[in-house]
This record gives sequence, C-alpha cells and structure tokens, in this order.
Amino acid sequence: MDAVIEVKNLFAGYNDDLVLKAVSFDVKPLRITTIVGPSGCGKSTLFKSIIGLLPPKEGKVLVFGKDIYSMDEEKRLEVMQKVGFLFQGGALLNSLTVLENVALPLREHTKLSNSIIEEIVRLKLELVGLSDAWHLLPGELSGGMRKRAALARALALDPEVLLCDEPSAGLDPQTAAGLDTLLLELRDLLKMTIVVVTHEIPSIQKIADDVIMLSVGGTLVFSGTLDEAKRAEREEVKAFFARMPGEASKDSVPVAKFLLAAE
Amino acid sequence: MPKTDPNSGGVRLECGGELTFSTVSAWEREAQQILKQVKAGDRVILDLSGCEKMDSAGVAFCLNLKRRIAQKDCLFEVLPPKGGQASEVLQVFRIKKPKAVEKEKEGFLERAGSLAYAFANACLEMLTLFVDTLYYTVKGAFSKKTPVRWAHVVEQMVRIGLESLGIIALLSFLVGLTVALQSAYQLRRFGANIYIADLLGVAMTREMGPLMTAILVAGRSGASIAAEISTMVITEEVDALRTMGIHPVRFLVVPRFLGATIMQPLLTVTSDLLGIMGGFVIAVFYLGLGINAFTKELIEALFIKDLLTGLVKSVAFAWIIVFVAAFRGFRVRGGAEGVGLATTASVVQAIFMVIAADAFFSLLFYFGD
Repeated sequence: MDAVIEVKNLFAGYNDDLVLKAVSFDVKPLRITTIVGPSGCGKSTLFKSIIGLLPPKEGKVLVFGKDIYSMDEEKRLEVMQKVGFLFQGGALLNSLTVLENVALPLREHTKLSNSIIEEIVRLKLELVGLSDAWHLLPGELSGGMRKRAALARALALDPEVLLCDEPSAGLDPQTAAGLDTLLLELRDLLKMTIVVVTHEIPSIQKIADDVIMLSVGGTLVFSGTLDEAKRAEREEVKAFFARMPGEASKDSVPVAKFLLAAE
Repeated sequence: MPKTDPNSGGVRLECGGELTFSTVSAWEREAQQILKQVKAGDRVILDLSGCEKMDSAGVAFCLNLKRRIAQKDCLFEVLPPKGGQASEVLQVFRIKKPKAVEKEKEGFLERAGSLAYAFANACLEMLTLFVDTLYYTVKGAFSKKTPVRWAHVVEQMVRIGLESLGIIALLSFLVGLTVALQSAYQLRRFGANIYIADLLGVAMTREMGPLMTAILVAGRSGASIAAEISTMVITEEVDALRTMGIHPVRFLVVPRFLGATIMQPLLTVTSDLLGIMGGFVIAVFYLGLGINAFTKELIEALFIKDLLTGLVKSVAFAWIIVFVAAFRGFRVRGGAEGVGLATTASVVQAIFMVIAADAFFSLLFYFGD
C-alpha cells in the first residue's frame, strides 16, 4: 500500500540553524510508527514540517501523496483536516471549555447540527475517558486530563492519520499505559495510521510497528520495523534500546583539558 | 598572592586551599591586579597545585582568567591540582571546543542591510495580514463553507464597543468641558461668546472625537487583542488552529476587525455628542448663552462633511489599531516577557500611527477642500 506520509531528503530548521539534515522515510498506512531519538535531535521540528507549520529548506513532505508546501494554504488546510495532531502541551484554546475545544473542528468544517456535534464530542471524550470534564476550562485540568482533551480534539473529525508529540510525557505510568492501549485501539478498530514521538521504551515495545530514529545532529539513524530495530547493529540504536547513557557530546572537552591546552 | 616567578620572569598566581563560591571573589581581586600589571607577551602561571577544593565558581574563575589573559596576548600556563577533589571537578565540567571560525563582526553596511531587510520583511508581513483579513472577510460574507463567525463578531462588538462606552463618554464630556472653558475665557475678551458652539462642534466632530476614541480603544482593546493573540502564539494555540485546518487570521483577526470597524464610528459619534454636551454646559452656565442660541449656532456651523470626515477617520483608526495589535501579537517571541513587549509595542505603535494618520487626513481634507 502507498505510504501515507513521505518525507524525502528533508532539510529543515529555523533561521540559519539547520536542525534536520537529509531525512527520508515513509509512514505506512494502518501502522504505528514511533519516532525516537535524544532530546534536541529535531523530532518536534520534523513534526512541524509534516503538519505544514515549517516549510522545508530543501526536500519534500508528501501527505497522502501531495506535496503540502507546493499547494496554496487553503488546499493545505483541507488536506490537514484528515490529519489529527496532538501537541506536547495540548495547545487547547484556553478561552474555550473542553467541550467547545473538541467541538471546534466539527463546527468549522462540518454542517452538522449543534446537537449532533455535542453527541460526537461526548463520544470522543468518553473514548479518552474524560466525559465528566466537558464543562471545564483547560486551566482547570490536570496535565494528563489536558492531554486527553487535546487527543479528543485531534480525533474530532475521525482523522485518517494521527500524530502525537510525546503523548505520555509527564504522565503517571498507569495513565501512560492507558494511552498506549487507546492508540492500539485507534489503529485496529478505527483504522488509523499513527505517528508517535516518544522516549518511553516500554511504550515503544508495546505499540510500535515501525521505528524511526534520529541522531543528535538531526540525521536519520534508523528506519524499519520494531523487530529490525531491536536487532540493529548500529551503536546508537543498540544504546537506545539498552538505555545506555549517550556519549558526551563530541564538540565539548573537560575543563581540565581546555585549561592545560596551549593557545 | 601573585608572585613574580624568578625562573621564567612570568607572574604566578598561587591559588592554594579552596577555590569555591566563598573565596572566588578574593581571588578575582588578585587576578585583577595581575591583569593590570602584565603586558603583551608576558607569561602568567595559574598554580593550582596547592588547591584542594574547587566548585563550579572555581572552575568558572579559571576559565574566565584564561580568556582574559588571552585577550591581553599573554601566555597562559596552568599547574594542575595534585589529584583530589579539585582535579575531579575539572574533569566533570565540560566546555564547548572553541569554534575554528569565529563569526565575523557585522560591519556598518551589513547591519544597515539586515535592518532594511528586517523592515521590508515586517512590512510584507503586515501587508499579508491586511490582505488575508480583507480576503477572509469578503469571502466569509459570501461563502457558505467558511462563513464569518458572526457570533464572535457580536462578542467583539460588545468587548470593543459596548464595554468602552462608559469611559469614552465620560472622558469626552470632560474634554469638551475643558476645551470650552479654556476657549470661553478667550472668546469672552472679544465678545465672541456665541462662537463657542462653532469651535466645539467642528473640533469635536473633525478632530477630538475620532482621535480620543482611537487613543482609548488602542489602549484598551488594542492591548487586549495583542496580549490575547501573542499568548495564543506562545501556548501553541495558533499552531493548533492551523493543524485543525483553521486559518488563524479568519478565526482570530476577522471577528475583531469587523467588530472594531462597526463599533469605532459609533463610539466616535458618542464621543462627539458628549464632548459637545460638555461644552454646552460651559456655554450655558458660564458664558450665559441660551439653549436655543447654542443649538442654532451649532447646526449652522456644522456640516455633514465635518461629521463624515470624523467617521472616515474613525474607520481608518480602527483598522490601524486592529492590524497593529494582530501584527504585534503574531510576531511575538519568547515567553511571558514577549507578551508584555508585544502589548506595549502594539499600544505605542498604534497611538503613533493613529496620530500620524490624523495629521495626514487633516492635510488631505484641508488641501482637498
């Protein structure tokens, strides 16, 4: 089957800083792809490029086979309606209640009546286990609840693809495990393609079909199935799954060495 | 203590004992003295062989000394600690290798160039915002797919218009009263009392009404628009809108734009009326004019054109306020501080542009007559 998202030779970054260098991979349909890598390796930047927020400096991002940066903004917004995105911090609109937040995409993009929309919102909130909090404002929610509300909003339009930026970061292990189960259900029952940025090895073991790994310099280290990743020979991949501490950055030296070095 | 080294002719700083948060300030003073003494080419030795205890302040002191001595073109040598905690600390802390190519300092031309580029970029962004807003407003008025969110427009009309009404009415009344009182004193000397009606009518409708309203709305609603949008940018809410396929300009700017465009002229008319009423009080009670005389003179002095001039201005001011606030909001950088800066910049820039535009309009209408 054709890839849902294709990233081709992507170079991306902010101003003069290049964060991602020559990254290429495919996201296959109906699978859960996890993107892993050390902090600061450009995972969030990669997501921003995929969802149309950061134009690449070079290379292409194809979503459903279409280059999202060569189409005009309105067409792009249309394509993006089929993609749900869960922000790391939730990014709920703070002036709207949970219900209004989840209803927002439905109100903007469908002609459904208010009562149907509220029904859908209730379904989605129940799905993420948040049906009692519909009337609260985001400021009144705990971190985990906020994330689940944001997930409900990302799922509002039954997207074909769901992207999650560190969904379980800052959550207790039980809630995190619940979220993993939910992602599996979404893939199997609602036939979604899911891409997840995560650091949690137990979570990767449980949900990942495919793994994409980035290195500190923003280059692609590995792309393949979870089994292939576990058997991979590359040091960085092995070290990640064995939870070994990363090497000290190569461009820094101990102070002692610096002081003793002659000018 | 700094010592002169008889063997090498260099200066030696013996840092024995502790080099920690509590002692580094004292060593700093010693280092200062050395830095004053040495000349280019001299040798400076930092002797840490007697140092037993060091913390991050000590490490920072050593690094800083090395850098400052390098700036004086002196030779720097370190005698490392003889094992122990100090030597471990120097291994634990790491620093980035100095970059081989230092970024060249920007020359005057480069600086002027990058400033001009940034300015052109900002102008382009503002223009894009303006065009996007007009596009989504016109499109929203006719399209069924992405209609204008009228409920939000009404909400903004209440926030921008209705909630400002009280303060604008009160201030306009007081300003009308003050202007009338100041003028009355002069007019009285010439026995030209009746002209207070002409003066107030024209001044309020053409200048004071639109300008005062705009300044108040810029401070009140402009600031709130800038703060709201910039906070939403920082908390990624604006990005979230984009990922949901909702254009932020359509969602955030259009309702505020329409709200301000509708309410600003109404506020201005209120301000005109209340300002004239303020003057009327002075005219009647201080100058002793009759109610009928004042009204008759006012109607004769005021032309529809005066009123329209004020209203045209008020719409232009509303646009300036909304666009400057939205522009500042979307351009925010950083966290809470960024929001503060965006809000301040929005108010200052909006007031400046309103007054500049007012001057422009005055010239236009004056010479256009």
